[in-house]
Amino acid sequence: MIMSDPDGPIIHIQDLTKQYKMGETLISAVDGVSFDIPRGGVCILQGASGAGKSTVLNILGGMDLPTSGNVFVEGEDISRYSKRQLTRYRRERVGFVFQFYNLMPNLTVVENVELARQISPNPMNARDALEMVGLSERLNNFPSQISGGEQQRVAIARALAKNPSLLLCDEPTGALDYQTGKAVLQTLIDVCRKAQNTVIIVTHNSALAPIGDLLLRMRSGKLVETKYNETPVPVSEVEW
Amino acid sequence: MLLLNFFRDIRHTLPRLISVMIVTALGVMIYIGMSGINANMQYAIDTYLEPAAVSDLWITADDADMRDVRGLRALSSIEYVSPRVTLMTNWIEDDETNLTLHTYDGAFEQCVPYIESGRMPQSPRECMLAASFAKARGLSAGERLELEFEGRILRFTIAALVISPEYIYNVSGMDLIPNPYRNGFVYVPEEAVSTAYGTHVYNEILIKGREGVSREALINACKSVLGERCLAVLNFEDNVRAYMIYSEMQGLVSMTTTLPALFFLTAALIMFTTMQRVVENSRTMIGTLKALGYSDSRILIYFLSYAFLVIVIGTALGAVPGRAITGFLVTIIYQYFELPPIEFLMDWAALINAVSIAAACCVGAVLLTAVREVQTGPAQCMRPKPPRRSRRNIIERSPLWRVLGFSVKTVVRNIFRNRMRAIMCIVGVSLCMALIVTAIGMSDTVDKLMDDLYEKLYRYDLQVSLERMASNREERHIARLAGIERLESEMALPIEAIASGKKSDTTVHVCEDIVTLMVVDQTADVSMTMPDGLFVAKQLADDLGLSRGSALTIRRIGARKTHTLPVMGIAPNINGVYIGRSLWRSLGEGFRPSMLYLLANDPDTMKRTLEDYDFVSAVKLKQEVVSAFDAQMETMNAVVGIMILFGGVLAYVVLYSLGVMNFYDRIRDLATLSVLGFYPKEIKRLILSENMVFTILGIGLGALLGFPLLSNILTGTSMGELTFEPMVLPITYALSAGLTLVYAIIVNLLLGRKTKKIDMLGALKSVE
Ligand SMILES: Nc1ncnc2c1ncn2[C@@H]1O[C@H](COP(=O)(O)OP(=O)(O)OP(=O)(O)O)[C@@H](O)[C@H]1O
Ligand SMILES: [Mg+2]
Repeated sequence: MIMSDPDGPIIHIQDLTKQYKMGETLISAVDGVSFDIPRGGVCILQGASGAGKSTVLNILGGMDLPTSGNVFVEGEDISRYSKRQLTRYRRERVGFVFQFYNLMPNLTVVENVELARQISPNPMNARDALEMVGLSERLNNFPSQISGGEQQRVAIARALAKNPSLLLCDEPTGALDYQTGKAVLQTLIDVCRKAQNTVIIVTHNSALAPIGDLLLRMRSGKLVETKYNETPVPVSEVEW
Repeated sequence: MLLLNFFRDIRHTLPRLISVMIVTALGVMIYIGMSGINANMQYAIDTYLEPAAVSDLWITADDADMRDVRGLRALSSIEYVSPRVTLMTNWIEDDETNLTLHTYDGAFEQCVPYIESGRMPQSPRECMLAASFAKARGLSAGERLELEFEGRILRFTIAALVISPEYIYNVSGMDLIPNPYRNGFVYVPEEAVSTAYGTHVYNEILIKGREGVSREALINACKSVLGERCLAVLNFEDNVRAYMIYSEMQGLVSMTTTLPALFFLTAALIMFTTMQRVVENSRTMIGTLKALGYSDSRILIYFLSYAFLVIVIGTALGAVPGRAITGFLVTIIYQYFELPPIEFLMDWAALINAVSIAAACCVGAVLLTAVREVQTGPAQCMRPKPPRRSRRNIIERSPLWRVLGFSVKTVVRNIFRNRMRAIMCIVGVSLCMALIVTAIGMSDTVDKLMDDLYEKLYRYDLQVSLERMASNREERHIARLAGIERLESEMALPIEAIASGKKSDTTVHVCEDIVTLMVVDQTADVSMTMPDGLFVAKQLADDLGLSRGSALTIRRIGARKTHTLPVMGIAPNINGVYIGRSLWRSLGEGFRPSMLYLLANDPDTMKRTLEDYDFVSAVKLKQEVVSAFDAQMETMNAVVGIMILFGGVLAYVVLYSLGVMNFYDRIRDLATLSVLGFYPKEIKRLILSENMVFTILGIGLGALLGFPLLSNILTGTSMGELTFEPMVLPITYALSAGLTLVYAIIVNLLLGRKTKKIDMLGALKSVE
């Protein structure tokens, strides 16, 4: 089934399973999950540690292939993609933000953003992207010269600069303290709302559930809750 | 459990450890191989030459008698005095031969010959003959040997075939290298020559000084006893025939030290960088172990196990081929020398040294890196190391920076961040390049030499040796043959060359006044007019300390009369002393051609024609003369091959191990790039362009190092009269650069395959 309706969900996942073979036993990290994500919203993928969130996100991001099931992104089934197609998919359509920032230590802040721009078909200006995350002052610093929160902002700017249709964030605040984490998260959501990107934020923190337009909750590889949220709460108002 | 962890850990560092092992093995191999040669030569000297009591001085005397001998024996500085008669004879069967006859009085006290077969002579009718000559001529003990000396025939039965410590490297006469087919020696009891020469008169005295007596004192003491009758003194160190093995050994020393040192240094550096990485990557483990209560020393021992592993496997891998190299080269070297069979010595000292050097390098590298980490507190260890401070480098500060793409920027930054690794890579590649330049330069040098011989020195087509009976009549006969375009003749005679108290047995070549075919001075144009003095071979000039303008005294062997003439020129690649015929005649000496140089319009046919004359003993085409040297160069080629191989291995090991290290160091960055959507090809290019920068810089540095290394290695190498002028052709640099580049590309292809192994998910999971 090809979904070409531009107003349909940007992501359509059907019976997604991912199994790992550990010697004799099969571990089902993701076990028959199906869901849709509408275009242009903030989606929170929440679950306890080991629930299979990162696995889903990695498959969505084209970094891993499912054992079975289909993953439609903008109508195309990326679970059938070859390695090269997956690389191209990551290159042109996806932005990532990781728990540990993963910046290139040998490039300055602005160069890290340029790095993503260089391979992107219609990138954003690097300075604009950095301005969006409030880092226009630190353009020429190296990652080791700025704080963790600032590094994560650079990572967000790097992801945004590609102008991706899909922004995937795996525990973006996992390595940050409470206040900084909140600030970064707020930036992320604000920026995406403004740019109309589709964002998926993975977190184990259930307090973050109300901040998105859509909440997906996982437990032991299964989707246990799907909840649309008409009135997302600003990050500043949630406490944990 | 810790041991289990060790083995799991090793799997990650295995490629690098293997690299260190390979370099260590190479260092050990070359070190053991080379010093094994030294050890074996030293062993030969200790077991054979020392007990054989090689003389300190060979004194040429003018009718010395028993009174002189008694006078010398009375000197406290002298241990042995052996007076003897030395005559230049030739084998009756072939008057081109030079058999130097020495008498001995009852027993040998010095220069004791080694009896290969047979027994000591028991009557004056028996002699001992050089084993090499006997072998070349198919003679054996029990057969008859008739010698000719100034028209007399001396008849002997061969009692023994011997090897003599004063003839280990028997160069003489016309030959640039020992030629046992022509040259040999004979020892006979003193009584055997009493009719031919006289009783109790001697023309040569061998002296062995007592321990601790200086050479000067010894010479002066002898001179004071002999006075006028002391004509010349030949020092042991100047007596090529006896001393060659010692000087060869000294030459080897430069090779034995320079090359292995290079490899050990590389091994130490790679070990250092590898261990630095191993220890750094184990910070968390160190912290955890410490938190669990393991002692610092236990943890240190853990890291030292890496060093032990490398030392054990590296030296084991190096020792075996090292021994084989020794065996191979010792056999070759022994072929140059006439030595009794000597058992092969395993150089345990070298092995122990090699192990200690390797151990010092590896253990030192581990300690240098590990101690500091181990001593820091457990809590600090568990935290990731603070990232290195970033500063802008020179290139960044230049305006050029803005124009550069990010991949160039990463490369430049990465190089500047890891200076140690950059230096290592460049040095490694440059060593490879230098080794290859040296190797190919060696054959350039030889080719140049051959070219000089072939084009500049030997301008004839045919070299004709004449029998002793030939005279000017025969020369004129050949000159008139159809097909001869030009003929020049030469007479070669054995002489003693004496300058400032030093003596050398050599040959005088009396040539035409204007030479065009055998051009003594290879820089000469079409023809060369012989000067009003002597032209001396470079080797001889060096031995006797002659320079342009010094006076040289020559004396035909057996003659009383000496001539002292100025040295007018010194030339490489010739043998002995050259003098123009008119000058020679004006000294009152006669001329009888012994060698003809010909230009012929059909050299091959002419060769066959000339061989039929009974007054012609040998005819050689120019190619044949030159190709005689070529055979000697075979070993050189083997060495060239081995060095190219070593260079390749070195470059491979350095580039690969450092490349792998770089790869693992940056695997997180590379995974990030992969996640961002960089194609594997782009990632590969990023890694490889860095290595290419190193390769190119290394090639540049190596090109600079190549020539000095070649000169260093050639210093110790000589082949008789031939002088090696180190030289490297431009094409050699290009070729070496090409080869080095090929090695580097191979390494990079291997490294490039690793990019497939980038585990995106794994690398993103944690900071480590
Ligand atoms: N490479 C792997 N091999 C084997 N099992 C794996 C692998 N990766 C993940 N798993 C298993 O799959 C399950 C889900 O892992 P996943 O990383 O998706 O969890 P998560 O929800 O992201 O947890 P966390 O919040 O701790 O990051 C876990 O039980 C994990 O042990
Ligand atoms: Mg996770």
